[in-house]
Amino acid sequence: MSVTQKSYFTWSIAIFLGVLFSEVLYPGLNGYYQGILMVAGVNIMLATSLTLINGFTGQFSLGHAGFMAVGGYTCASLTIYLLPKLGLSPLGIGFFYAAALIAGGIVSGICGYLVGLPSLRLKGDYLAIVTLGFGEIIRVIFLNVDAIGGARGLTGIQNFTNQRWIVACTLICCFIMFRILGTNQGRGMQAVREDEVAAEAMGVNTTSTKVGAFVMSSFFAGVTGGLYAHYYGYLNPSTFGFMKSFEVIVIIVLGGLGSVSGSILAAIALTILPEALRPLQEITKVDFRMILYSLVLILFMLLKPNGLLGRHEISYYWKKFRRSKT
Amino acid sequence: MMQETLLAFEKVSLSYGGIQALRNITFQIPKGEIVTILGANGAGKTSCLRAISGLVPLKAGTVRYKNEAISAWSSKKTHLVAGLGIAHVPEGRGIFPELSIDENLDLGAWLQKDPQVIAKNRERVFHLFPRLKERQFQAGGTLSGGEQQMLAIGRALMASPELLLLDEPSLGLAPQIIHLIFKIVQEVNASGTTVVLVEQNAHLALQIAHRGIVLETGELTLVDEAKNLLNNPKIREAYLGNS
Repeated sequence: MSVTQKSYFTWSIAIFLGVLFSEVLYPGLNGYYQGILMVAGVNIMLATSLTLINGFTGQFSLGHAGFMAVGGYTCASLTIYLLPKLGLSPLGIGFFYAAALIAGGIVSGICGYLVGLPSLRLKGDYLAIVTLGFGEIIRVIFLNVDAIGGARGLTGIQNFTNQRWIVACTLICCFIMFRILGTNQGRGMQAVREDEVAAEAMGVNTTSTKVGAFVMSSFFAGVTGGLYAHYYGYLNPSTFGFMKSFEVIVIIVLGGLGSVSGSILAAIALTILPEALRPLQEITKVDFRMILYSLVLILFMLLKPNGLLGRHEISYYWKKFRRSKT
Repeated sequence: MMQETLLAFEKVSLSYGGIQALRNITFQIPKGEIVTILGANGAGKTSCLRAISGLVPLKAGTVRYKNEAISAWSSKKTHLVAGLGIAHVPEGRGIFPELSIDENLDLGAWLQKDPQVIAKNRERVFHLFPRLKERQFQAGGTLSGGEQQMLAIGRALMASPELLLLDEPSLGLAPQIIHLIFKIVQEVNASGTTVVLVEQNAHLALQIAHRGIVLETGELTLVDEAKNLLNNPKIREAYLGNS
């Protein structure tokens, strides 16, 4: 099989599994497990999109929650204020929702452009501080605008997001992230991460590459924010504090910076882990969960400093495994 | 002079903060030659290359490439200069350590859109450096110093450059590898690429170069044909270590 055929094959399997999951498996689960899986989907999208900046391009952004908030509030405002005036059929509502998600992503992407253009001259810690500041500014703005709920939060969002939306968006997001890696643009991003001067000498426009990655990443964070809003039906600025950004950072570092499949696995594992530790609480009668969770993180980093998959994709390990067997 | 001038410095001055690195430098680089820039540490050799590729803005003067004043628009726009066919092999090689040799070479061909040309260039690089072909799928960072230098030069050749800027290719390499790399630089030059070579090893550089430019604390002191420089008593004393 050629490389393209192989990737078609892999993606058909992924789509098949996605459909199987959302149509057969998911409805059979109880609400508790359904909830965990939905959050896992949201986390996968956040993690893979942040991988684009922190993993591939080698920049350090701490503002992912801010972009998510922008997308979430934009999308929710559209469905609350604009949708009822249009009087659409159920199918039309579906299309409107999709458009609103994309609109949220675009507004978030524009924010990414505005933040990225001046600040991507900065490197490492300095960029981290700027993006952290951006995230906080966004949070404080939403906290103080009364039209979108202010500190009370935005209520009355309809629960449009079901498992189909999550599965579809997660698949699209992962597909795009995997594909970017193989393109010229993706290679340019990696070159920027490895050596900026050399990349520039090869003819890579490092500024536009970095800003491009930033915009792309914030677009998907925005879409995820929209999905999140219409899953819970409620948005509160405090959800999008910098702890949320840190959560995503933890996921991608644990999964291996620069590995899409690594961040997918870590997103699933870290969503399930706190819940899986719940039975322990019943035995000990004390909530040790967060202590154990942190311990797991520390031990993991000590034993596997490069993260779960390092900088490679899962296919790399699969090939290695097959080679070692023959 | 009969030869066509490919690159020209006209009264170029350059400074880093308050420190003046180049003062009023004027010289021409004829097409098809190997020109070496010699000088002690801090003489401004690397700064000359950085001025060409626009990594630092000029304070005064003009750099012309094929009669176009590239310094007017090239400051902080190195990627545009690369698009003109100027390939810069930076000091310390600047390979991409986590990427495989193949990917490193692909990045060298970043501006090259024609897959046939890319395949041809790759063939040529592997012909010049068979070592790289053996290690095609290995990460760049796992190569030895000499192999990394080969990769850096090979990567620059992927862009089929007209002008190749080499910044101290012999840095930290064994004499045997240096000879090999210099031989390849000569081969590359013979196939039509103009080469600007910055070197500490003046003796070797003058042996393969057609022309030498001697810098001293940012000022141009001498431009002459390489064989004249090799026999120039002053140069022999200052850079070649024997009188």
